Amino acid sequence: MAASLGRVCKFGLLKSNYGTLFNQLLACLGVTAGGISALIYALDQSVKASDQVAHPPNYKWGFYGIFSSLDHRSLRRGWEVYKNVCSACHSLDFLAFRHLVGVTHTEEEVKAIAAEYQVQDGPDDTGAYYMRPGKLFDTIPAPYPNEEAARAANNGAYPPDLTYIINASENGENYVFSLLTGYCDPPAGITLREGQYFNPYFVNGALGMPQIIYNEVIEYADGTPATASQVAKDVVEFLMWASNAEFDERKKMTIKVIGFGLISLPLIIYWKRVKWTTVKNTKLLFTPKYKRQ
Amino acid sequence: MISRFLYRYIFKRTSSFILSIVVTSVFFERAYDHACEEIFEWINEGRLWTHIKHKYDNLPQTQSYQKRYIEERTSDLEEIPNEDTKED
Repeated sequence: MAASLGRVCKFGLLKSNYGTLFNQLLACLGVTAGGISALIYALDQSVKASDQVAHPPNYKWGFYGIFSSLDHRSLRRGWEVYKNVCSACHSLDFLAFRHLVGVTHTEEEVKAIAAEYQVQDGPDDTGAYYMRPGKLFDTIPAPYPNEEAARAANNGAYPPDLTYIINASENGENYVFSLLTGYCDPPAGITLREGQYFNPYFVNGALGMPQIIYNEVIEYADGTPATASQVAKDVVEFLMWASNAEFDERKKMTIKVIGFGLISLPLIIYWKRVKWTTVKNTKLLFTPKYKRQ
Repeated sequence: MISRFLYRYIFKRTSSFILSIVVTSVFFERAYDHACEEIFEWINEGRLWTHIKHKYDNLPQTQSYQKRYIEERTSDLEEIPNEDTKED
């Protein structure tokens, strides 16, 4: 293989000063790869005007900075919003009460919150299932026992589980925020069935969820004015944490990786120079046979 | 001088070299993690749970027993004026 390749290319592949074919091949490959990447990027950056949906704007979230953590004051309010507003229809199946400890509430507070819920446990000695107050290790109880019950209670629309909703939807935090605050009257020509509400950010506009976030929809325990945008922002930040429990850890790791990279970079450069100094200072001398004597 | 010391006691034998690597890595990692944590908390001042915990935590768990003991016994003491700096 190597011999035939060498014969075809006349060893051109192996010579650095006579590698025109190889260089041309490389250039072609580079141009093709670059072109395909540019096309994919351009298609991704297109205006996407064909969808029947409004695209959410990018808001300036506090956690967007490369070292910025989530705002835990906001997370605490977000849990209040979820508990008092969202949890009427939406479940949070993959989150347990113990996850809230040290993030939004102290252990005693979470124990008190969990005890307010009734959780099915069992079987006991007689084989029967019974209800008991929730404990730290329980997952947060869902409002409906199963999907059919949820659909039956909501005109056939299924309220999705909110644990990973931010990661599950494109541009999640902006989409959910826009959806919660973006309800408006339907434009002319759009007819809504009973139990449907118009939201431009939802695909096709007809959403089974009514607008539930208004100004002063709840009262925050810490006295923050509960405007509609504040409520939506807090619950989105809380759901961001629910989707990305390791968010703060990731930001901390960014600091560590960048710092260690800065420390090790001079060392690596010095090491490379040490190793290459022999190679770079070596002089090769070719003496033809007839001069050698 | 210092390079000779380093060579004689650390780099000369593989055993002492390895031991020095282990010991320095333990201390370096501890110090480095601590420093990064400090930077992270400084950047996100007031946003982390550690910064708002005291509002909801009734138990002063962060205060050591010794510190509380001293504070309880010195809180009612009056400040005694210093004899040397008193003006006549």
